[in-house]
Amino acid sequence: MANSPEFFLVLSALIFCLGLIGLIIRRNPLVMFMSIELMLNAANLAFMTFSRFPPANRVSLGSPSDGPAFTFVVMTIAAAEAVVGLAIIITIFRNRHSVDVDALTSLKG
Amino acid sequence: MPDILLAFVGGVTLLAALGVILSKEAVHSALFLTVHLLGIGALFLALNHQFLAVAQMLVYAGAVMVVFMFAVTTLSPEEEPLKLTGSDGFPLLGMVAGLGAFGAIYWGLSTSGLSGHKAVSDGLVAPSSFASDLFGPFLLPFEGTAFLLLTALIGAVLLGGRRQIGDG
Repeated sequence: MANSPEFFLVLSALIFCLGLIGLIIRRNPLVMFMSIELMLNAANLAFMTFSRFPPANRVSLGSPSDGPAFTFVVMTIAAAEAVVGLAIIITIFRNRHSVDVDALTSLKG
Repeated sequence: MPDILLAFVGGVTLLAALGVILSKEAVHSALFLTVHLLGIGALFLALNHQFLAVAQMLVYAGAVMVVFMFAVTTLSPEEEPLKLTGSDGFPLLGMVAGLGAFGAIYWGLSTSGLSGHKAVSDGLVAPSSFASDLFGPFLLPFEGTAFLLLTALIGAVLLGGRRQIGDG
């Protein structure tokens, strides 16, 4: 029962929506970053699920490593994004001694 | 993986995700995120992919979380009160957006005919077969990730350096 595509895909959808909610309701940039990581992981889980449970008529759908290859690239992008994003946050904190995202209005038109 | 163990791992992963967005302190969020990432790695193992399960645990739960912990401890650990009934309207928007997104995804899943999806094989995907794919048809994206990591490294060094650009 649990070892079905529905289980993994519903879990992935729930994690994605939790990440989306966290991104909107939290004001701490670190937690907002963590919410983005949640959403990326949910997408990775969906990729891996469709790689393990391909549709029956998979003639035109490429190799079984498509999903894992996407997951690999997404993991790399998440690592790069975390490093650069956290460096930006730390630089902002150094200059302004505050990490409140609502206070960062210098670029507001 | 047995069904009951799989359901347990899925539940822990989901509860840890809930803990990430509801914890008052950023340190607790980071620890919940570590649990969540380990759970995702276990789910990758349940989906029969050894290499990505180990890579998930090493790269995400190891390296990325060290960076997060460093940032959390560098920034002052102020307590951020969780505003669920704030005047800014964002909590309501978050709930609406989250429930709407889940409804849309669930509707898409339920109408897409998942019954035609069958498990491809029962054996674990050997790392050697994934490697021959990664260095074969996916060589260009793989080299692209190397370039991306180099760019991120240079960007982080540039941002983290004390001197600004053009100081000489």
